[in-house]
Order: sequence, then C-alpha cells, then structure tokens
Amino acid sequence: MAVLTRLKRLLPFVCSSLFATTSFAQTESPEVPVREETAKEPAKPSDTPTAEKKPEETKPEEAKPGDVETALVRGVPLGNENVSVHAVERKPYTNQGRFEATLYPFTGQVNGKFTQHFGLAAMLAWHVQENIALQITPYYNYLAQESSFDDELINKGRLQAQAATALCTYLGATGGIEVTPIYGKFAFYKETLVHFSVVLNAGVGAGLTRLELIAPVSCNQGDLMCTNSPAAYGDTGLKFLGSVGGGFRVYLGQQVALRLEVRDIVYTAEVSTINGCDLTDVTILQKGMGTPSAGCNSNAFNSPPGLRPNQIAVSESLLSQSSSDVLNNVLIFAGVSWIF
Amino acid sequence: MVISIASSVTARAAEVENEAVRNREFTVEKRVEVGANFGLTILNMLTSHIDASADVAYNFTEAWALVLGGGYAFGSHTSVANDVFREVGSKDPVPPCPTPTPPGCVGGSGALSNAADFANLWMMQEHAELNLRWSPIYGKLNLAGELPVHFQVFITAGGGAADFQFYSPVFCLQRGMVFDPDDPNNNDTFTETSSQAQIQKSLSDTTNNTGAKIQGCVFPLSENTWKPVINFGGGLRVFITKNIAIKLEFRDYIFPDQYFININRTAIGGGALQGQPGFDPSFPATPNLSPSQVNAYCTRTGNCQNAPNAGFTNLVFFNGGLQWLF
Repeated sequence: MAVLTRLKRLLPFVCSSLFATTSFAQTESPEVPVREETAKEPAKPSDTPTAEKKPEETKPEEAKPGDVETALVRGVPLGNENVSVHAVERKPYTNQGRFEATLYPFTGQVNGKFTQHFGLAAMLAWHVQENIALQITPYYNYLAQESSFDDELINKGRLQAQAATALCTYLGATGGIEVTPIYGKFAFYKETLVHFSVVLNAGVGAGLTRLELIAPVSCNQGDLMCTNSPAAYGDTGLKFLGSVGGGFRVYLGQQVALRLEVRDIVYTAEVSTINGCDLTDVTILQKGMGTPSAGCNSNAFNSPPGLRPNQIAVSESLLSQSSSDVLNNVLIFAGVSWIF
Repeated sequence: MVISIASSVTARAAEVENEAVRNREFTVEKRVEVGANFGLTILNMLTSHIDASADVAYNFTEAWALVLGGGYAFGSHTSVANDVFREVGSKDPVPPCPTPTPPGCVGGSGALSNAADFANLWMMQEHAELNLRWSPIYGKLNLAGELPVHFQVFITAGGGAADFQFYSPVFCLQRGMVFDPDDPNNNDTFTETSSQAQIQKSLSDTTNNTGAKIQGCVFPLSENTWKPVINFGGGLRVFITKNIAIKLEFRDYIFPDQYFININRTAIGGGALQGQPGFDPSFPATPNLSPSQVNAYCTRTGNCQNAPNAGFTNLVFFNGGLQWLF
C-alpha cells in the first residue's frame, strides 16, 4: 500500500518528464536539474514522497542570500535519492491555446530530378496543447515544371521521363497535426541566447497537378531561325496528397518566430487523362474526326496559341503508355510566423 | 530581507541568462580533433557516390577551426544513366542508304549521328581539401526531459582537389553488338565501367551468354583527370563525452564540368565491328584518356568539340561521422 501511495505521488513527475521540453540547465551540473514549479513555490509536504517523514527531516537547505543555485532548488526533495525531478527552467514562450499564422515566402524542391517546384505557402495552426497543434497549410508553386535534366534527356538522348513521373503540382493544401517534442536554447556566438523548438508535422490534403507537354523555347540573341515560345501544360486533375515533415522554430519574441522546415509531399500519380481527355478523345482530336467525350476540354490545347497540334500529338504519345508512380516532392519551407 | 534576497536572485539570474556560454560543458578551444566520416550523395541524377573520409582539425578558438580532410568516393551510375547508355548506344548513327540502294550498302537509321554528351557525369574518387570551420552556435536541449544534449552548429568552406572518372554514353569509340541485359539467358553482361578484357571475355563466352544481343557501345570513351574542387556545407555535432562527438552535415563539392558536343558518332566509332567505313583508327585506344588528349583529337579531326560553357557540377553529400577530441 505504501508502494502504491508512493507511485501515485511520483506519477506527476513521470508525466512531466515525458512531456518536459525545456532545456539548457541553469546549473553547472545537468545531473541536478531543478523543477520550475518547485522553484517558484516550495512543495507542500503532502506532495512529496518524503511526506511520511518528519518535516525537519525533509527540510531543504536554507538558501543563502544571493546564492542563485541554492535559492532555485528550495523545496525540492533532493535529499531523497529515489525521487527523480525533471525539467529545468522557465519556458519563456508558451503556445497552448494560441494561434500561429505563418507565411512562407519561399518554398523550394530539393530533390528535383525530373521536376522542379518553387513557390510560397501559408499555415494557420491552433495550439491545442503546449506541444500539439492542428494546422492547415495551403501552398502555391509559381514554378512547377519539368527540370532542366529532363530537357537534357529529351534533347541529347531522345529519352523522356514517364508522364506520371514528371507530374507537377502547382496548387494544393494539406491539413494535419504538428507536435513539438523538443524545446531548447542555443547561444549564438557567446552572448545572444536564442530559444527554439523542433517541430514534426504530418497531414493529408489534395493538390492540382499538371504535365509539361511542350518545353519552353528561349532563343539566343541573333538566332533568326528560332522563335521564343512559352511552355504548354496539360491539366491532369486533382490528386490526394500526404505530407510529413520536420524542422525548427526559432523564437524572436513572444509573438514572432522564424520557421525552417523540410516537408515531403507524397502523392500517387497516374495519368489517364490530359485536360480531361483520355486516349480515345485525344485520338479523335488528332484525326480531326468525331466528337470527344463531354469531359474532354479540347479548347485547353489551344493555350498557348499555335501549339495545339503538337500538344495533342504529345498527349497521345503519353497516354498511349499507361504510367503510374508514387512521387515524393521534398521541399524546404522558410518563413516567419506570428503567434497570437 | 526577503525582498532583498529575491531582488538579488533576480539580478543574478539575469546576469546568468546573458552569459549564454556559462553552461558550455564541452569546450574545444586549442584542442586537436580527428574524425572518421561516411557519406552519400542525396540528389542522384546520373551518378551516385558513397564516400569514406577522415579529417584532422585544430580548434583555434571555440568557434574557429582549420580542418584538413580527405577520402575516397565510390561513384556509380544511376539507373537513369544506365538507361541513357543503353538507349543512346542502341541508336545507330550510320546514315540510311540512298535510293536506289547501291550494292553492298548497309545503312542505319542515322539516329543521333551528331550528338552532345551529358553534363554532370564525372564521378569523384580520391579527394583532399583544407577547410575553415565556423561554429557560432552552441546549444543544449533535453531529450525526453532527462538527457541533456550539447551540440554545436557549424558552417564550413574550403578548397582542394579530387581525382575524377568519366564514362561517356555518347562518345562511343567502338560500336557493336552487346548482350541485352534484359534477356535472362545472358548471365555475364557488362557495363560501361567494365574493363576491355572483361568485355572481350564476356563477348567470347557463348556458353553462359546465349541470350539476345543488341546494338550498343562496346568501348565508351573513358577519361580520368584531377580537378580543383571547392566545397561548402554546414551541420551540427553532438557531444557524447568530453572527447567524442557525432557529426552530421551536408557538404556540397563544386568542380568544373567538362564534356564534348557536336560528336560525329559515325566517324568516331560507328560500324567498326560491321566493317563499315568511318571508324577512326587514329584515336588512342588506351582507356582513361585525359580531356586534353581527347580535345586534341577533336581539334585535329573536327569530329567533336569541347563544350564551351560546361558549367559546374555539384555533388551534395550527407555525411555522418565520429570525432575524437584530444
């Protein structure tokens, strides 16, 4: 019974250790950490496992005036070797119950083999608890196209990545959860103290995808035989997305933080239609005979003007080879957040 | 009295807070360190590398150190590169016969008769570099509320030299029939990195290799040279004890690329095994030529041209390692 009582009393300490995220021990010896709550107010005798002892036995050392270390540990039952106390210091930035709005002015793909994505994103998070938040992240890629490596394969080797592998996503949103398992501090070049937390997030969502049908042409100056032309894209529809990521949040104050994250946007890509037209539709458009199905947006092949026959021919070639792939777009998200 | 104690404590705490390095348990100033590292490239387009390296460093201050490092990178071609080798090799540059077909003419498709080589195909091997390392950030965090972890964040930059190997999928010295690697009856296929002796042995071994043969490149151009390399990167090292730390970093090695364009594939090696005209016997038959040797050949014959704006190649490694501080 005494053991059970003791376990009950230890439970709060165990729980706090599991979720404790503060760091940067104030004492020279990290092995003697100090619990913040107990530092602020001495523990009641009934709150400590040593409560069964007489008060004079558990009386901590008297704080000497001006002695920071001793003053901070007042009330902590350090005399009992069986008691584990945790955490360290006041956490100056709290999140629980607050919202966090983040603008990522830069997002960029770092694993762009066949595609490249650059854009911007935003995030709204509600910190349900100190370490857990719900978040939604919309993003827009102003550059979502095949990579120069893919162009090189086409031009030099007459090789092209499969349609599903070269799919680009230009607009999307994910919603999910973010956890903050680690909170810490670092010193920047001796004097400046910076607080940070490690964030991990995961979510699901959807994104609009497209396929580059005709690469852009940029002519050299003086090349009279060459004509500049923009890229032509075919719409490949809405795809289900998954997202996992992690990064750092560096606090610049109570309300502002910098965020640097890496997120892997994962989606399955199967290209069976381009601009809503399947292979049968595209074949009809290619031959100029018959009427495509109702879902086929044949006018989409007119943009940019003058490339319609080429776009239809490329689409027929791509759709004739059924392809599917699981794509991982690993992107860096760099931004600033406002916590309110 | 209570108030005076409290204010004193607050004042002292504020001082402590400003002295951010107060809790720097692991110091490196004026210490020598040695490290062993293992790394791999993280964005593999045509080549991929696995690197083993070692370094020795001297920490002038807590923040600045000079690092001398070197190692060997094991380079290989990616599956995309192997597809390029196969596809380009299978394209016959010999022009089709005119109409009407002259007697004895064996024409080809004329595909990629004038071709350009691919960028970023040099594979790094031995390398050595001298770097300056700046570690402006020293931090601590607690894992699961129990384990205090001390770490340093650093950036580094420097320069050196490396030995590079190149195999060309386009610049084929001798075209011919090669084993179809997709045919399961070919047990002894060879790749572009195989030696000429291995290739000849495989081609003459008709016991183990009974599968189909396809048009391909028997002897691709291979080059070897040393190049200057600059590198920069950043990462963190986590102190395990006062003498041991774990290092994790990203490092980008940048070096000048070099390849050939306007390659006359027919003149250089097309149809040699078929006895067709066009094979240039004056080309040095030794493997691992230097770029200057090949360039001299190109200038002399006009069968190829050094790419004027080849740019630079980036090899981005993710490295992990152990460091010992003395």
